[in-house]
Amino acid sequence: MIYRYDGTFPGFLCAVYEAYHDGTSHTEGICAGTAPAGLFSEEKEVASREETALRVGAAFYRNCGRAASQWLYRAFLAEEEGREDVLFTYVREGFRLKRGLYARRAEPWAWTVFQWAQKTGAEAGKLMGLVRFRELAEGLLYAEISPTHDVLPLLAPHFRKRLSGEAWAIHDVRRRRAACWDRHTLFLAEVPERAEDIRNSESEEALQRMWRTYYRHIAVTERHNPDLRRSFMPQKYWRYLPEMQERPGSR
Amino acid sequence: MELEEKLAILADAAKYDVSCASSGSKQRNTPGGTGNASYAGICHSWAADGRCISLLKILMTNSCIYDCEYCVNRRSHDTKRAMLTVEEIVRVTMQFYRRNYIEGLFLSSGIVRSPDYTTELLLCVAKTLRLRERFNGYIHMKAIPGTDERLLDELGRHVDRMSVNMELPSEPSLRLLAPQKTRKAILSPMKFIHDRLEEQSEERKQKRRPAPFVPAGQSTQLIVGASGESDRQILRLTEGLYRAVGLKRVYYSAYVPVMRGKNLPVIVQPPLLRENRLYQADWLLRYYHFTADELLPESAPDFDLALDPKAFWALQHRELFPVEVNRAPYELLLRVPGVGVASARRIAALRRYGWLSLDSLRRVGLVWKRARHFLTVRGKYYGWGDAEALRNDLVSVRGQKAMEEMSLFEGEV
Repeated sequence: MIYRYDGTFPGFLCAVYEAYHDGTSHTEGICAGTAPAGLFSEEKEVASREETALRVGAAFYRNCGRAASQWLYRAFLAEEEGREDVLFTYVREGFRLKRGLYARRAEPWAWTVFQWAQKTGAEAGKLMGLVRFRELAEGLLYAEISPTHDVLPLLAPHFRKRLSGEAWAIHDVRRRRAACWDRHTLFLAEVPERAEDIRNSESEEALQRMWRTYYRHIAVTERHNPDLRRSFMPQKYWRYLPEMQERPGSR
Repeated sequence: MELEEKLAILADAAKYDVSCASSGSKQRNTPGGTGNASYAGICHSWAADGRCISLLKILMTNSCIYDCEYCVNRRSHDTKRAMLTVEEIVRVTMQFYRRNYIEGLFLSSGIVRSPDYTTELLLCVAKTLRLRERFNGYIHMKAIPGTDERLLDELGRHVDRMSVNMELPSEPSLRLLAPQKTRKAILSPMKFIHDRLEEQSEERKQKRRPAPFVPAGQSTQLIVGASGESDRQILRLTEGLYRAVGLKRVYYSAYVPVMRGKNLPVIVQPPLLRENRLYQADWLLRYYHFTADELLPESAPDFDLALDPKAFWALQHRELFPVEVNRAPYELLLRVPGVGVASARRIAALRRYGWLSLDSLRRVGLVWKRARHFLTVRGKYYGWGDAEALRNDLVSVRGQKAMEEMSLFEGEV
């Protein structure tokens, strides 16, 4: 039996639930909505239900603890090829071994999950620093990102605490989603198309120029080391950093 | 003068201070406030020299009544001077912070009129940020030697970290290069902050909740290569500072020859590799249970630049190695080159469940290329014992490059 789900984390947990319900020995795989169907396998469409997902998630948490649950979630967000099968094995072993999972961390099936989780965590950590807001004409703080892994769900709570008094939105351009905070609630929104008429506030340009000036002057010329900079701040993030945009007219 | 030009001048004047940490504080955001502190610290950008930008590091003014020979802001230096007003600093900090450019403010200053006067201005910035703007991000400010203790005490209530830079590692070089300062004057604010922090921890022991006072502790900076101290002298000073006044960090700054002076050495390149070795040794002191005397005994007062300090030490203590990875106590594992705190912990955790094999050992994240010479795995040794070959294998790539460069320049001097 192949379980087809909607590609979200709760959806995945529901697929796990269905697989357990039918008996895991019949499970051939779990795949997200778009993957091509096998020719001869039986398929089952799994609807994502919050209640079911919470039950599976809570059960895993109870059995395996906080760290293992965090690895599961973050490894899922890494969006690596073939994540469903690897994570399904992980969940199954988790329910079998319970806390014993930690002792088996060096084994390949757990190691992969751990590595993926670390990648997501590392990128989220990096972007906590590298997200750049700009002030729009309406006063909203707006940032664009296009991360390799799906880190938006990890970034949003950080900024909710930090900038609770501001209205802000972080737009994941690659995944066409945005996390929005209106000073009261945090919500995820689908953004099918990029708005063309985003206008900056009046003071925005001057502030970005000041930041660029500061950025240029804080570097010690005698220690010039662009390779080191690139290793800390990979080029893929430069696109959204005002300090890395050379503007005509600026020295 | 435009604000932007002031920023340029005062960032230039502040950049030789290397401290960048925004860690160590757990300050939370308050309702209606802006910002919080991240305990681990967050880097927001990296400048063209590869150093991280975490805080808006800037001087309030680069005018100074002192004339320290090594300093770009010394009175006799012919340079453009600028001063930011309190409102300007507050505005730039808040606007940069909202856009997530920075983690907070690191404000230092040249001394205008008197230490007390300067500190009062710093205090005004801190209070405006905290009380009027309700800013809960990170603030690091300089404790200026010679300031009244009551002022320091008040400043400490509003900032996360304070620092006093020693700059010169010994009394004689201080007399030579900064004749208007004394060691005692530098140490006394450090001592004061330390005593206040001790008082606090006493209060906490008695289950009281004292008013916050520099929760992220204090740090200092030493210039490396402007005066003649050996690595041993510097490292012993560092160790003393960690023990006696409980510093959180000691920073090292390779001397950048921007100034000329009759008492300053003539060098072409800042001693970056030496600075790097001192940082590595500093980590060994703080996280690896090494002492300064172990790393640099009197007989060898300077590091071998080609080797990192841990490899340097291990090569001099061949009699202790190899150790069996499945048996060696944690403290000894920490001393194996190629094994770090994280991998040592992982080894200690995993071997409780059974004997580690070579395969599982290589997955704990140690640097096998280095560690192999100092470990046995299930009794088997994978390194080579020959001292010369071993040394060559441990020489770091960076060290090697530096060695090559040095041999190129030899004979030219």
